[in-house]
Amino acid sequence: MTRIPFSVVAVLTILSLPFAAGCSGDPNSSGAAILPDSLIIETRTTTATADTGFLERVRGNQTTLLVGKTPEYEARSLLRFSFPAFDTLARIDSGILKLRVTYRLPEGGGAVEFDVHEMTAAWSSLTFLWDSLTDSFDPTPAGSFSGTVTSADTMVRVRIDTSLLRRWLVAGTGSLMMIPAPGSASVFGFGSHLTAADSIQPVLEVMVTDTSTATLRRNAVSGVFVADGTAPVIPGTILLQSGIAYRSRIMFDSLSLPTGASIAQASFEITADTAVAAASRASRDTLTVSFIQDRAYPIDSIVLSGLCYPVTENGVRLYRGELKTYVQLWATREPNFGILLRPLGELTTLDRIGVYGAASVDSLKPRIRITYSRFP
Amino acid sequence: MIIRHRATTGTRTLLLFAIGILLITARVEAGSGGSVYSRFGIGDLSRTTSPELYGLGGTGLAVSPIGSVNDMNPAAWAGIGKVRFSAGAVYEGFSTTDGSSSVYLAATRFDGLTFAIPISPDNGITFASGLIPYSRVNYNIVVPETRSGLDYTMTYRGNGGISRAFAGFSATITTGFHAAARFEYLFGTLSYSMTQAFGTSSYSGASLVRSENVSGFGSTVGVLLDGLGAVLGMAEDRSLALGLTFSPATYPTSETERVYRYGATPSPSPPDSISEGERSFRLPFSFGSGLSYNSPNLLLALDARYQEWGRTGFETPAGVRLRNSVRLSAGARISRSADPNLSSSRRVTYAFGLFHESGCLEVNNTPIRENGITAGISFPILNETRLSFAASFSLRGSTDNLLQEDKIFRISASMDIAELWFQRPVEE
Repeated sequence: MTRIPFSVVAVLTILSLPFAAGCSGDPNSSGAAILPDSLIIETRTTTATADTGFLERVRGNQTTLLVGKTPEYEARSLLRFSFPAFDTLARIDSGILKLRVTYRLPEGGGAVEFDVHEMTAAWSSLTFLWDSLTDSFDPTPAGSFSGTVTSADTMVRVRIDTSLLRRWLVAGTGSLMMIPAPGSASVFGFGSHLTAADSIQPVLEVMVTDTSTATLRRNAVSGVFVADGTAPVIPGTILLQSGIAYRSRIMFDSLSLPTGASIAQASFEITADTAVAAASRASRDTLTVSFIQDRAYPIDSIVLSGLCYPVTENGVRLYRGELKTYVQLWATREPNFGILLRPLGELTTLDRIGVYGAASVDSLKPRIRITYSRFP
Repeated sequence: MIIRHRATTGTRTLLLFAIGILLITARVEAGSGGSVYSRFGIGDLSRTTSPELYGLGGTGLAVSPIGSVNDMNPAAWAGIGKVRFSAGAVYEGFSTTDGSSSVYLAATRFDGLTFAIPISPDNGITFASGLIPYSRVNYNIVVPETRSGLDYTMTYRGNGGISRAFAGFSATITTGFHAAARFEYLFGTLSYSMTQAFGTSSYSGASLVRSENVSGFGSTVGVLLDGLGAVLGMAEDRSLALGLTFSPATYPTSETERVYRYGATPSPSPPDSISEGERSFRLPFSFGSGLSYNSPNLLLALDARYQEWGRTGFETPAGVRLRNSVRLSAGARISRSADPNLSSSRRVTYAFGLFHESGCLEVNNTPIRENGITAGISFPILNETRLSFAASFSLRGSTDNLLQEDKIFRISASMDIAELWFQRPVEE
C-alpha cells in the first residue's frame, strides 16, 4: 500500500485554508455597540427665495402643430412637402391639405379662419421662431379655411392653389405657412410628421391628370409651429405658458447643507393657482423640472429633467417631484442656480399652468423637503 | 565563484505550496471579516509571521528558529548558516459575541516573506530582509437601523493594514554576544467604510470610505546573549540565552482621504473625494526581553514585551483609550533530533505555548486583554527545508460594559527553505 507523504497532506491542508474562510457566517450587528462611526438623519424644509419668469421661444421636435387665434394667443404652423419627378405636361386638377385634429383650445373648439401662404424664406424646424416670421412668406394666400372646429371634428381640409402646387411639383419640394385670420376664436392642433401613426400626419393630396387621373398623396416631411401671446401678470403667481413659451426659474438660496450630507430624499412641492390655469382635455397637467447649469439668460443649459405630477391634498392642488439628484449636486459639487419649471406640454399645446411663487404667502411658497444623512 | 544549485526533489511540494499561497492571497479580498477591535488605533498588531515562533506562544526574542528567519529579534540572524527564505499564509477566524448576537467571520491572507543571507557565518554576519505585516484592520458589521422613521441598513467595513519592509544586518560581537539592527519602511492603507442602504428606491443611500495612507520609517535593534549557560556552568550541550530588542518611537505620516459616494448622483458621476492632508503620528517605542533554555531535545522560552501606546497622540473616539500594552508569553519546543542526516520523521519538532496580552485598547473603561494557547509543528521536507504550521486559540475582551468577546482561531503556515548559496567548492 502506497503511503502518502506527510508533507503532501500538510500542503493540502494549507490549500484548504482559503475555503475554510468560506465557512464564515453573514456579518451581523455583533460589535456595533462600540463602533464610533454613526450617521445622523435630519429633515429640513426650505422655501423658495426668488423666482424669475422669462420667455423662451419654443422650437424643434413638435408632435402637434397649432394654428389659430384667441384673444390671448396666436399660433402659426409651417409644413414642408417633397415630391417625386413630375411630368410637366400633366394637368393638376386639385390639391387638398388634410390635417388630423388632436388638440383644441378652448376645449370645446370654436371658429377658426386661416390662410395658407407659400414660404419664401428657407427655414428649419430647429431654428424657425416667432421672431423669424417677417418677410418669410408670400403675402398672397394660396388657400384658406374658415369654419368651426368642434370636439366632434377630427379633420380639417384645406384646398391649395393648383398653380402653387405645380411650382412645387416641378421643383420637387415646397413649404407653406398657415396664418390665422382675425376672425379666429380658437386654436386647434394637428398631428405633425413626427407622430408615430402615419394616418395622423399631415397629408397633401394632389389630383393629377396625364393619360389618366391619379392621386398623388404626400405626407409632410417637416413642420413646426410658432406662437405668441401675452402672459397676464399676477403678483405672487408664476405663469408657465406652453407653446410660446414662458418658463420660470425658482431659487432656493437659503439651502445650507453640511459637508458630506447624503440626500436620501428631496421632495419638491409647488402649489397650483388653479384660477389662472388654461388647458384642454388633451393636455398633460404635469410640470417638467430641470437642473440649471448656467445662471445667465437664456438659461438654456439645463440637464437632469424630471417630472412633477399633480396631487390634491386637503383640497389643495400641488405639483410634486423628486429633486434629490439636484440637491445632492448642490450639496457637493455644483453651484446652486436654482431649478427651471415649464409645462410638460410646452412643445405641443398652448396650456397655461399657474403656480404660487416665492412672493406668495409662506404656506404657498414652493418648497423642498430634504431628508439627508450626515456622515461623520 | 560557483553558485551551487541543487535540484530539489520536493518540487511537487513546493509547487503545491506556491499554489496555496496564491489561492490564499487571492482570497484576501474576499475575506469576510474579523473583529471590531481592529477599528481602533492602527488595527490588530502582528507579532510574528514565523509559525515556528507562533507555536511557542509568539515567543522568540531569545530563540533561534530551526527553519525560519526570526522576525522578532534580528540578533538571532547571527546563527543562520544557510540562505533562508520563508513565505507564509494565515487563516484567522473570529467567533465574536456582544451578548445579544454572535457571528463567525474569517479571512485568509498572505503573511509575509523573509529571507536571510549569511555573509560570514563565522562572524555571525547575516543580511536579512523581508516584507511582513505590522497591523491589520478587518471588521465587517451589518446593522439594521431605524432613525427618524426611516429603515435602512448600515454596513461598517474595515480592511487594510500597515506592512513593514525591512532590511538589516547581524554580527557576532564576541563569543555568545550577537547584535543586529534592521531598518524598516512602514507603509499601507487603513480603510474604514460605512454604507447606508435603504430598502426602498424612494430613498437614496450613500457610502463613505475613509482611507489612511500611512508611510514612514522605523528601526529595531536587538542583542542575543546565548553563552549564558557556559557562564552558569551548564553542560556543554545545553545553553541559556537572553534576547533584548528595542524599537524606538517613530513618526510616520498619514494622509487621510474621504470618498463619498451618493446614491442619488447619476452614474458615472465621479465620487466626491476630500483630502484632509498629511499629518504625523507617533508610533510608540517597544521593548522586549526574552529568555530561552536549550537542551538537545527541548527548548523553553519566555518573553515579555512592552509598548508605550499610551503616548501615541492618536485621536480616539469617545469611550476608547489607548494604553501601554504588555505581552507575556512562554513556550516549549520538543525535537527528537536536529541532525540533518537523520530521516525527516526524526527531525520533526513540536511546539506549545501560551500567552497573555494586556492590549493597547481600553474601551468603556475596560482594558481589552487576550489570553491564548498555541501549538505548532515543523518538519523537514528536503534537507533543512521545512514546512511549519502553528495553531492558536485565544479569548479577547468580554461582553461586559457593552463590549465584545472574541474567540480567535488562527492557523498559520510557512515554507522555510534553507539552501547553501555562494559556497566555494572543495578544490580537488
